[in-house]
Amino acid sequence: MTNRLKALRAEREWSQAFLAERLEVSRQSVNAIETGRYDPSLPLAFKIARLFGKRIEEIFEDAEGLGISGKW
Amino acid sequence: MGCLPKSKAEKLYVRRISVTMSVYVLLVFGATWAVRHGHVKGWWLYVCAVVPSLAILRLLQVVGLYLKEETDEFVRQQMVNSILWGTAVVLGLSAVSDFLRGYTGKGELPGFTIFIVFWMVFALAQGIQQLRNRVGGDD
Repeated sequence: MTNRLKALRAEREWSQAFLAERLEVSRQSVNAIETGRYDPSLPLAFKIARLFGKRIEEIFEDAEGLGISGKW
Repeated sequence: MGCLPKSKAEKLYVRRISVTMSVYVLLVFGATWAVRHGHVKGWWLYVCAVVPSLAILRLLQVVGLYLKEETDEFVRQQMVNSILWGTAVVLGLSAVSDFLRGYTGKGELPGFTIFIVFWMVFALAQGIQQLRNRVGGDD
């Protein structure tokens, strides 16, 4: 899964520490999500989406889905 | 569980672990002293042998409580990974040891090996994950 978390955070000029505080997680978690080393749970993804005022799919993208050819 | 600010669950975990390990040391020394100096006899010997392990059971409970209370899912996952590493290594070790004993009569592990190896692997896995997931300067 890929995400736009870093870009969205940069747009708002938020630091990782600030975002981590708002999400009530560690900075390590924010960093891991941003770098794609960790995919958040659905509740955390919703929390992130709420914080940025966006829908989940506007922030997270299914990387595998990008390669779907329509064949089953 | 690195140098970053600790969560409420982590602070509780550290405090509980510290208390539990202090009690464990006291119990081990107390029980050993009592048995070596011949102060306990009969079924009290069994009690002395079991009492230190109560602290170990509490230690396992403390880890379970931490997993229940930690709200940071990424940090929680790292701890679960470390527990799985520790469990995998000690299960492998005990299986090899048991087969060795079964076929050759040798290879019996000294007492407490499993326990010590589990926590060593757990700590190593925690350290490796901390290193892999370390964060630099904030931007």
